Amino acid sequence: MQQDERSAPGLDDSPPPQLEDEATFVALGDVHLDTPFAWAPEAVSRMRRNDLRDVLSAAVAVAAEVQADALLLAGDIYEHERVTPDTARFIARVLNGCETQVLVSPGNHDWLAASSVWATAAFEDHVHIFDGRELEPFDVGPTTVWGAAHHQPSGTGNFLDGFHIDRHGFNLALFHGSEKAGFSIEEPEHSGSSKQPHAPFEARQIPNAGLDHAVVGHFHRRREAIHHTYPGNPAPLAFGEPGDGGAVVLHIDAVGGIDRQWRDLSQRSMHDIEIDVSGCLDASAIRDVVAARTGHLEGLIRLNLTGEVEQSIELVDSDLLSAVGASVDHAVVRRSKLRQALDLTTLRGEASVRGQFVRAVLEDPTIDDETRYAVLATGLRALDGRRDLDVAS
Amino acid sequence: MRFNRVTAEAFGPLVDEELDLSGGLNVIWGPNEAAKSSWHAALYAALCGRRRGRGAAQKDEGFRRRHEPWDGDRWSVSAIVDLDDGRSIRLAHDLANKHSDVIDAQLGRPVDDDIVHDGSPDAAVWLGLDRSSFLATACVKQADIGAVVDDPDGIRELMQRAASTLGGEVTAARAIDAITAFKKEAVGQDRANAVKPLRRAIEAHDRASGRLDATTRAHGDYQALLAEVDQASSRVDQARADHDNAVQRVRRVEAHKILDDFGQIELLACSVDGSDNTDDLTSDTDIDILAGLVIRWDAVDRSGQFDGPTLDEIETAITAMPPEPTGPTTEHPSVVDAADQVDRLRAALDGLSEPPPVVGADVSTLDEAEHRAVLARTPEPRDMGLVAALEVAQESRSYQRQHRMRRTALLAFGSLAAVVGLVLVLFGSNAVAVAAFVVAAAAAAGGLLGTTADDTEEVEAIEAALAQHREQVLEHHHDVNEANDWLGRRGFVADPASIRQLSIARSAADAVRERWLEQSSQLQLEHDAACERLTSSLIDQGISVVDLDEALGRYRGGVETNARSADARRKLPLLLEQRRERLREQQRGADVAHLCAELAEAIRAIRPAAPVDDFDDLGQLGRELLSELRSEQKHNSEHMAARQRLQILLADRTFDEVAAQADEAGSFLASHGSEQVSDDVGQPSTVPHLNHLLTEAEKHRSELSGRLNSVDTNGVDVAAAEAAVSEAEREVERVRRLSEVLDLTTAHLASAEADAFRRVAPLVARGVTQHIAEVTEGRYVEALVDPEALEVTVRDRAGRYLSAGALSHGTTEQVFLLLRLAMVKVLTAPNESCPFIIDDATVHADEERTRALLSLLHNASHERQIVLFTQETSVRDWARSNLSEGDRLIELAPTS
Repeated sequence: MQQDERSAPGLDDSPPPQLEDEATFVALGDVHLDTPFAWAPEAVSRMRRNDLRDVLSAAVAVAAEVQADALLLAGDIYEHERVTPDTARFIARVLNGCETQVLVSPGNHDWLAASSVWATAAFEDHVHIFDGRELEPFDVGPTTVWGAAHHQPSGTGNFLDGFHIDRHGFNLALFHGSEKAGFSIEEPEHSGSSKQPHAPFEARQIPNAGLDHAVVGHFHRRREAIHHTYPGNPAPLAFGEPGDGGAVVLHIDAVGGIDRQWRDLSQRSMHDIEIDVSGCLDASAIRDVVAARTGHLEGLIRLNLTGEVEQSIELVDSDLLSAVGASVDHAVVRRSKLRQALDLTTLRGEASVRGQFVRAVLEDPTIDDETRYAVLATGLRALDGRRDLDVAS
Repeated sequence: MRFNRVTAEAFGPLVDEELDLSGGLNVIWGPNEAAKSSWHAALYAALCGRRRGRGAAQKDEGFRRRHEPWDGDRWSVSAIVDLDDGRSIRLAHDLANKHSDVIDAQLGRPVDDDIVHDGSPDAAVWLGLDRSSFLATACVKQADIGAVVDDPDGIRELMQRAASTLGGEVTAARAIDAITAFKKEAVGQDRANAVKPLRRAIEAHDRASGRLDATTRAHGDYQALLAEVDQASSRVDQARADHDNAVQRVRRVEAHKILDDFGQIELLACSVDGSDNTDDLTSDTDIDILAGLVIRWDAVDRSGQFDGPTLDEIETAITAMPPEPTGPTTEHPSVVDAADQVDRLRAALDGLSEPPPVVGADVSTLDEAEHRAVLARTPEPRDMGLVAALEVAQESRSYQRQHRMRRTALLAFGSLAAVVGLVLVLFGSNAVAVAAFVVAAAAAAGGLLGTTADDTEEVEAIEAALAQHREQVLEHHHDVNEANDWLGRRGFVADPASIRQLSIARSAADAVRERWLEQSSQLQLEHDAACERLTSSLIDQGISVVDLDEALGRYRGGVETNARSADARRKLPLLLEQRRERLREQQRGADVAHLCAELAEAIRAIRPAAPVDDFDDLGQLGRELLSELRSEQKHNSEHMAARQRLQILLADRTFDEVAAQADEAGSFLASHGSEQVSDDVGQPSTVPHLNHLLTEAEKHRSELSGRLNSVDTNGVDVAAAEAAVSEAEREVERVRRLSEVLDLTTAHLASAEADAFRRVAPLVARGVTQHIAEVTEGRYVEALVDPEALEVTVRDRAGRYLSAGALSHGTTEQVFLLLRLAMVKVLTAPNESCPFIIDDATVHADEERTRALLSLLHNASHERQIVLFTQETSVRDWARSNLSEGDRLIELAPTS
């Protein structure tokens, strides 16, 4: 767990809020129900979407377990453009079944529209949807939760601009937005570009606005900053995501101190495994390595094979997949970084057609290295009389 | 490179055996079972070792089975080879464990990393080959020779394989074919009817995209439906709120009304509390009768009698009235106008003077007289010089007659002279004849030239004109006489001017008379027309007209009579009115008497003791009684209305019940606000309307909710559709990527094949040509290699070209070996000579062919080391006789 040590100006001068009683909240965000998981085969994507539903149910269970004063949903619980009627009914059922107060601040993916689940589903009274464009209060015991909604998929401004409160008790903000310092980390592809982050804010605006803390959604990597908390997405949407998010149990003591505990809600983990198979002399050796590296794993695995193997080794995905651990639900093989050891130095010295072919391909300026490798491997296999000529996949 | 020494520590039947080889031609002879094949394999194994990659075991299985030692665990071979760069390399292969050491013998350091191929050191790499291509390129087995001898295409196949893969199993063409075939199955074409992966992937993608489009649309519809449901719910909420508010308002209004009604009930209850005296009341009928009689009494006309004649006098005057006139009392305007017009025109006609009188001859006679007077005074016509002209013309005609006589004489003389000339010519007197002719000619000329015009015609013309003039004079005299005679008979003087004055005066008199006649005629016409109109008007008034004036008088007399009768009857209306008034006076007296009796009876019916004897007071008595009865009746009506109003307000409730409801209403208002509600919003009638709106809104929401509940989740599962599209896209991309790689590979292979063949072909051809004449004893002098397919052709001494496949077996063998040697040179590294190893190359050759081949190899050994394994004693014998210092003959003994 990483503590954000950055502090805001005047932070130390703020008197700690005095509460009549302690409070406990469970915060969750960025579940992204009905995300397509386009990278996965259809069956796997469907399985993952079901996993996401389990995450929401688990968060409700956590809220009951810790006897939370409220379950805080920080946006992007589902994807508006894809949400199905079944998912809408599921959300309503689960949240209506929650034993505690539920507070929802819609995000840029589940933005509040006339047709959104938040507006149309039959929620019971204990489910409160913040539907304002500016932060509005909702009292939960001695704590005031300030929430607001995205009303459009993009272009939502800073909720904290011009916002200031002067209330006794603990003031907790709940919204979906991008903390500017974290934007370049979370969305490096967008940092520096003209793309505007969603509801951007600066961390120092939280205490300056009179807020004691903020639970914020949007970043998929969890953050435990002084004045704000990103729960992170509780289940990775793609390989490569850290997957360190989950439900956060925020305990606020009588003097306004916050204790945060993350709960892993994901029932199925995703592992991005890189295996260097250089030195393996045959396919069986590679399978052995794969089995050794994945035998203890569960959930979903992406095998990234790297290194260099002999050209004569015939690697078949199904062979490799049969080697992964039995507890693995699904695995995909990526071997774009795997190279067959082509003795190109010797071959390009040949005075034969083969040598001429190797030289020509190596010197062809119009093709990229990946294609060059595939053409060489294919041609050499063909000249070797082999029939397994699909090296491009 | 050359093999220096090969040591078979344990290889097949060989144990710790060595072969020391020279750099030239090495003939290794041995009978059957002398382990020649083992030594051949040992050479290969010592140079190339064993591969260690995947599949190596399978590929080497045959080699292992044939050459693994029969006894013991060791299986090793080693060799010392000298490279052309001067290095001496020691190769030691533990074939059983696939371990090799390659050491530079001079430096003592390993160099195996330089030549690792397929997982293990392979010294063939120094030759630009590998353990596979070395076997195919540098090693020739007897079977290879047999194959090209038996197969006409064998040499070309050999060439292509060597050029493509240094003697591998596959040619470039076959590799391309294999890729093409693979692409056909693994990719296929993008055609509508194709069934291979590319088309399948595209169709799957199209289907997935179509599903995604449909799903996205359905999802949009679903979300729109959600919004509709949301709006419908909002409308239901609003309708319910409106309904509830209306109910509350109505209840407040009702509460106020209950309280108001209760207040009224209390008041009414007090007012109606008392005895009911309705039995003593006069009946409404009696009151109405009395009221009617009082009204009639008050309406009686009490005006006095008028002064004037009595009824009898009036009747008498009326009887004396003349009858009503039947015709007009004034003349009809049309008659008046027409009569006035006739009178006016008659006056005008009477006023006309007598017509002007007619004096003297009329104008036409005067004009004729004037004309004849002028004629009578016309002078006689003159001769205009005709007499003088006649005299001149007669004189001229006399002269002309004299002249014509002289010319006739000259012509006659000329003719005579000519005749004389002719006679003289006949008689030969030419000179005289000429003179005669000249004279004749002159006379003729004089006669001809002197011709003049004849004036006889002119004289005759003048005489004719003169005769005409005389006739005119006679005619003039006749006309003058006749004119004077005409004038005299009519009394005129032959003075045109006076006659003219008479004509002008007569014309003026005629004009005056004409105008008088016209005016008289016009007045007469107008008079006749006016009479016609008057006649018509009279007839229109019913008057018959024979004599107009009489008829008009008769009409006017009738009108006057009528006017007098009408004037007399103007008094009749007054008389009639006076008569009606006298009659009404009589009737009114009778009516009043009857009304008094009725009124007295009515009053007595109500008040029997009332004094009704005096008729003069009856009216006042009736009015007073009626006023008294009206007052009683009003009071009674108010009492009844209060009771009815009370009954209505109570509405079948008791007073206590109403009081309880009033208490309840007061409590309701106290708890829900007692402010008044305007009538329009508090109308109870709005509640059913709002209830209807609420029902309709709930019904609409229910319908939408039903549609929402019936939405197929799978049909709007955009995420699943997107995942399917992504999966299909990946498959399309995979196949297209494979297609691209295969196409690129094919293109590069084809290009490489063409380049390599173009390079190899001339080199091989040159290498063969260098030796072909020598090995074929001059029968063939040149070899050609087609760069397209590496087809080999040879040319004989006569210049004929023959395909290599068509040569004799012996020549084919020779050409084959030359090609192999040339290919070794061309296909191996240029800086390293490749050893050439031959196994029983001469086994099927006769003695002569054997010698030729051996000679060929001996010559070739000048360029590279050649190792020839043979069991032929003839070869051994040839070696014994022909090998030189740089060569070596090794004779193997049979193995035990």
